[in-house]
Amino acid sequence: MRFSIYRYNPEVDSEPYMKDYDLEIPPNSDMMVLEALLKIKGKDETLVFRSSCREGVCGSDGMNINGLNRLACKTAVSSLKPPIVIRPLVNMTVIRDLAVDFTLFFNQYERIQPYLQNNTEAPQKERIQTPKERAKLDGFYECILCACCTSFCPSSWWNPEKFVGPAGLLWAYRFLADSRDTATKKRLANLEDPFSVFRCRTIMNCTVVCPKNLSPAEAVANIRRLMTKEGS
Amino acid sequence: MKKKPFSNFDLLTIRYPLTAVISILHRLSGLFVFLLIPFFLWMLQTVTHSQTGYDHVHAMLMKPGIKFIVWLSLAAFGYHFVAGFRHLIMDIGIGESLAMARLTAALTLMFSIIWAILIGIWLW
Repeated sequence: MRFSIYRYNPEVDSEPYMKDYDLEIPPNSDMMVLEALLKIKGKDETLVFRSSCREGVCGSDGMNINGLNRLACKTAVSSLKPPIVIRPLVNMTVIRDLAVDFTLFFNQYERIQPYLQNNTEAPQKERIQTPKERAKLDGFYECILCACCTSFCPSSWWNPEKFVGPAGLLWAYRFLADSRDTATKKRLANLEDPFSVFRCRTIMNCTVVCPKNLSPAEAVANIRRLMTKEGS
Repeated sequence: MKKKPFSNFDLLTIRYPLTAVISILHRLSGLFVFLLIPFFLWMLQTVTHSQTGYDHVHAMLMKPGIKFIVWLSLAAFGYHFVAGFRHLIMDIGIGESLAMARLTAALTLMFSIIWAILIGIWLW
């Protein structure tokens, strides 16, 4: 099977190029793309990509495979139409080959203050939540920050700095929805400008590509509704 | 030497989900209809001005090329209307899940195609 992989080493190459590799893959193989990449790296050790847990938990191996952003470790080779084209995450600065710079992505994450804020006195043991309150976080806390969504979002392409992006907004809602968090007003005020949230045009690319099947688009809609409710 | 940073940004290598296609067409149709506003205003002014003006515009609209543009703009307007309506429905909280968004995207396309055909039948 043919793999066409994006290659760029800033120390050697003047610009990026695509390189083909052929790999023998037995029919009915349940091989994931990550394993194929590791096999290719066995043949060409200059190939660079990130990976760690190899089971869709760490979020290291997000890349653009056959036109869609996905995790290499969760994408079966058999589910793809050859030739398999592997490129780095869309619109992120390439460090080398498939490894991209996450600085801006994490800045956006930091911007929404992804930690619990509560200005009431801490109880002796812990802040209690009812199962119902806890259930409100389902679908919003499982994000692994792989950047598949934000890198696939046209609104993020055009306004990478002003628009928070789907991943950051999913996290923003995760804390807005938390019954233990008391900073709701402040959090919403931070997002009120025309860009941070409102650049989302419900294109839904984020939700289509999320490897954890989460819906940043729904999180954005919930944030907008909260803003209306709070009258901000 | 510091090199210019590269990023993988080639719109031709990206696969576009149906919901994205709907969104792109929404913008294109909006732009198209918007750019034609002067033409329609001119037409309105001319037909209401005098009998000769009316006859002139009427004769012009009978030309196949112009007729096609009118059809295209009405089809684009229909599409833009339905796609906009879809967003309004989403804003009141209906159809925000991926499955529903896909369904309403397909319906938007379907309604617009039927609308374009009906407009075509009416015009020709």
